Amino acid sequence: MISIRTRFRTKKEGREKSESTLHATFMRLCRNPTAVFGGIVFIILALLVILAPWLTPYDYAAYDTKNLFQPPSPAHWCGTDQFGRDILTRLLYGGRYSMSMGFIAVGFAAIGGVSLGSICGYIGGRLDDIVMRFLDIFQAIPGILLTICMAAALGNGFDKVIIALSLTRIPSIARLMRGSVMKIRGMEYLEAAEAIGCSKARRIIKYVIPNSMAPVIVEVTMGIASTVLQLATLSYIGLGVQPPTPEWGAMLSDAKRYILIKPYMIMFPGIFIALTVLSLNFLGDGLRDALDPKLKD
Amino acid sequence: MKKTIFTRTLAVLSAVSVLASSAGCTAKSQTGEADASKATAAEIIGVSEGDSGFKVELEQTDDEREQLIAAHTTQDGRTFVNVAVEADPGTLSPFGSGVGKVQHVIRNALFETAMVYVLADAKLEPYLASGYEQVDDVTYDVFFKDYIYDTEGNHLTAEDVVFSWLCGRDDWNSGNMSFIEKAEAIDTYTVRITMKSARVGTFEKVLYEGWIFTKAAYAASPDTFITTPVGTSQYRLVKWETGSGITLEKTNDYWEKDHDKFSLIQEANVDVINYKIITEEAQRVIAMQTGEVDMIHKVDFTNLEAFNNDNYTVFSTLNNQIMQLMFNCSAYSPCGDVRVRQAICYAIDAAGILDVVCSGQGEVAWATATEGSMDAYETWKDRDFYGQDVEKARALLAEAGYGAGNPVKVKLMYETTDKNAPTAEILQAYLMDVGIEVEMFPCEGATYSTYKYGSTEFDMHMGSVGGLEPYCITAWWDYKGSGIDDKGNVIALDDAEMTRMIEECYDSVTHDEEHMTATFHYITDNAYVYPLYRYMLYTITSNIYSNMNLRCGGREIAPQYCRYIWNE
Amino acid sequence: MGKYIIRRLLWMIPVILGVAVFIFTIMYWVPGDPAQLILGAEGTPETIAELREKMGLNEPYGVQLVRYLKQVFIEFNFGESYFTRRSVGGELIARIPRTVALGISSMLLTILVGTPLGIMAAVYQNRIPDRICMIIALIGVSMPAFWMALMLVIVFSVRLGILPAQGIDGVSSYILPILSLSFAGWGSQARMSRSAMLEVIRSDYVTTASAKGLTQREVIFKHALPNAMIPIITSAGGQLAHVFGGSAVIENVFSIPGVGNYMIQAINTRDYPIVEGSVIFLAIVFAICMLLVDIGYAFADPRIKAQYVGRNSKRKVAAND
Repeated sequence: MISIRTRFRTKKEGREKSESTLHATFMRLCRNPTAVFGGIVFIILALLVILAPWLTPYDYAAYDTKNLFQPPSPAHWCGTDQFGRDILTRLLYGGRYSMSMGFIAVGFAAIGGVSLGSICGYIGGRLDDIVMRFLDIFQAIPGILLTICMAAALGNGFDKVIIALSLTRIPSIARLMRGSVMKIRGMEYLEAAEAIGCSKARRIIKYVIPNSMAPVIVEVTMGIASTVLQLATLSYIGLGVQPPTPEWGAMLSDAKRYILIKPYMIMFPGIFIALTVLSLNFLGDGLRDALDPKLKD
Repeated sequence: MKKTIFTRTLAVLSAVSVLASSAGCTAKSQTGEADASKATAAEIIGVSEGDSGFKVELEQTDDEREQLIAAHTTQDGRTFVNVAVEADPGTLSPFGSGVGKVQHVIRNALFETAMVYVLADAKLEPYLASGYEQVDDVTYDVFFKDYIYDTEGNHLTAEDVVFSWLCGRDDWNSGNMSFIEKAEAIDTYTVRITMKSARVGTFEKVLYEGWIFTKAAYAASPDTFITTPVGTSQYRLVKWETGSGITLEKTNDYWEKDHDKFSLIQEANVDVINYKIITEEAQRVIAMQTGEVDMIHKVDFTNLEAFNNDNYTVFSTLNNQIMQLMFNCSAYSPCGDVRVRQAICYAIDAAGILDVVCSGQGEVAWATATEGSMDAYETWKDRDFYGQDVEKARALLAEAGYGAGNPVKVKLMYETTDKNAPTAEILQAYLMDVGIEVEMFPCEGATYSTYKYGSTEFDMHMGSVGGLEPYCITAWWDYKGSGIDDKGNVIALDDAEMTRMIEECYDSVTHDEEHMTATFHYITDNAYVYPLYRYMLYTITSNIYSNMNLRCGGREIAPQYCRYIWNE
Repeated sequence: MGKYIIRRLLWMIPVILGVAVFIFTIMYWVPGDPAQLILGAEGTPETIAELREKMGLNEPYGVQLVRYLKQVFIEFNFGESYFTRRSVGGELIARIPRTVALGISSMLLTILVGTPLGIMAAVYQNRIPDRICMIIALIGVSMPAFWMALMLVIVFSVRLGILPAQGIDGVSSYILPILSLSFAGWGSQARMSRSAMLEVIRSDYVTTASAKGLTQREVIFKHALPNAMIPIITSAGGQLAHVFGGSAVIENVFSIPGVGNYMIQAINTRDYPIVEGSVIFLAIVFAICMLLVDIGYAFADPRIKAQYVGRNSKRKVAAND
């Protein structure tokens, strides 16, 4: 039995002898230097953040009144803040919030967006029109503005911020999914599946979604990056998680008061944010090229 | 010469370091000597008793002086000064709270009140009114001057005063004006006012907090003074670029022509005042460094380093307000148990908090009162005021039934400000040490003001209290159960004894040392609240200031009656 | 052509209405009693109830919604601030020029920098310039704009003292804000330009032109670029979303009194009429700008005139913010 998925094997001749697209994609990904770089950096960051308690001797919440505002030194690689807390420690613990919230928010958005997009794309008609109008409204408000508005309305707190972040991301994922689904809607194998008595739902779940996921995967990767940025922005203006939590954006918000005397307090959180987002962006770019090689050249 | 007359006038006004205030805040400029070992950041000038405001000894050559004056004079010879404020006031009408304190600062330059409260002499000085007479317990006659005109040329009569005061009373945010029962003009220049009760200080508040304006001007204004205020002071609003800056200009036809009769707050020592709106403190500091503004206020100690040179003067004042911790004393909360409250008090080291949050610049509190409060007494400092004693804290918690397996969990509510947030964080750390888990609940100002009167949103909350009044009892009003206002209290307390004691203190007959001390001890023994500290406020000026005056316990600026090098 | 413009205009109306309904609904469900917030500490249960009546807060959701919509769209009255009682609409009108100045300048800078970067990357594809351009572009996308702003302030205001850190006292005050706001867009603009160019370069007519013997320069500027311009303009339109949204935070960092800053400050004080009004206002301005871009797009691309086709791809690009 020929797997339906082989329809999507690359048209390049003689390049890959792999059995499945997944393997082929992965190989292509590994051949992309920037993507590999991004992947490695991200994995390192993730490990650092997960292993934080074992890596640093300091407590991220402990005040040390004798060591206020220490510049970077061998004892404190990134210096200390206005309470004497070690900044590197706080960055590592803060990364847990930033990264996990990014993943969770985009995860929810992906589930919501993929379902919505595939249903609309496949069924089409009135439902499609109505839902698309609704998404238009969402997208008529510039992204970060919408996130700010929803975060302001929902309030502070881990869960509420995740809701705000994921809701703003659903429209773009839904649209992508819908577009992708519409492309394969007319494919013969779907007609075949219908002919043999596959229910609509089963068709969507088993055939439509797996074959249109490619652009969504890319969007999700970039989406995590974008969400980490949005979360930092929210915390910076005071809407995300609150000050005791060492979230990167919140650290920047605290640090901006001391911009004149202690600029290093601003540098380090920003560098961590930039590295995380950059590595995810590299990875996403690489994924895009690997999943659909036609686009690359 | 002018200078001699002026200093004579000042000497008459006040012999102590006091700033007379027209709108309710008893501004007190105090000796703010920063601890010598810590004050290495900048050379800070406190003020010594005997001066009025902060006097600066500027060492300038004549040339330098001429240059500075020239740099601060416009094309048509008017002197100007640039001052940084932290927000756009939103409204300059005498009513409505607007946003932040900035509208208060600017309104004080535009409007005038009936009288002025001078703390040192503990009495009211004439301003728009020349005096008053008490008719009975709740009724007073106030006599106004007959030659007052506002900046549009309208003549002020008693009818206008009645109109202003009643507008204030009927406004949504009436505040202290709500105590007016009725006001009527019994003469062209005399107003008879009846208060709702004989509560201490309420009548005086109307006199020094009620802004007065003419009916004609109010009617002529297209938006009830929000952007088109017309007052009776020497200044007039000339430009308002929203979010960017406000400009006031001195008129030349002030109603008081006789300079000898001026009280300090009637001085107008600069022709044009430019208030520049700069929301971030760091940016205000940068603006000061680049010379864009001439004065910045409420600067954090850590930013003072850059100003430790001859081009600037740094002033310090001890904030009149007290940062205080207040508990939820109802059964809803674990803090309803007095032992838990006392344990929390013993767990905290206020001096330590001061060290970290304010770099040690400030004073640990000994009551919800300051030295300037008329009804606070030195003897209060003698009692045990819950110094840090971790063992005792743990013992009290154990006694109350809490321990390692059953920790106390409390929710700490506070308004997010520069000082509140770090204080809350450190409180959390101290309480963690004795096994109390603190959940933070930061909120915005409006939410905080509303929730603190409830009993289900917090277990304890924190904020700056007091300082605005000559009497500390007015801050304690918020601890009683119910009474005239029936608003509830900020500590969810239902204690008839407390209510009785406070009401007694409020009655001018029993407002004496015995009652106040008894009440103070009662509050402290029960640990209903725990005052923490007062912190230093720093003001930085450029070399055009020769005498600095602040208002409201140092919390507000008053560029109009500071003295400048061109006034000498 | 006219039909296209009219169709787009008509499409805009329900969307704006929808935005208004959406924002109003979000704010309606926010916990907290506006009357209590206004009266604050002075409010007694009686005065609060009175104020609620006066403000019409006791009426059902539908009635309040209709009243708000009527007020905004028929009377053009965005209400008054809860605390200052100042007209929100008046403030918005006074502030919008600054936001628009900031936004449009940033967008122009993004186009001026991002497009050449992308084109260069496309022309020298897979060689060093390509890699470098893309890396620069991606770095821009990866940093938070406000962090970039703070770093620029440290370098140019604090250390060098040559540019102001806040306010709008002149042209130099706008330099750092425009730079920080546009920097993040360089990445996506470059990337779009690059793929647009690449697609065009592969196309038959370019191959033909090349085969005809035209120099590379002529091929790029006379044939490839004009055709690549369409998706590039589209992408520029997509920048608008980012620029209008991101301007709020940049205005906050630089204390620029624009609409975004107004909204952020109102959020902190729970002044909901301002938040509602600002978002709706910005959405309207944004929609108008998008409409102009779309019209320009339609003029540029003859295929659009013939067949109203570009809807889906356009929206997909707009979704990439």
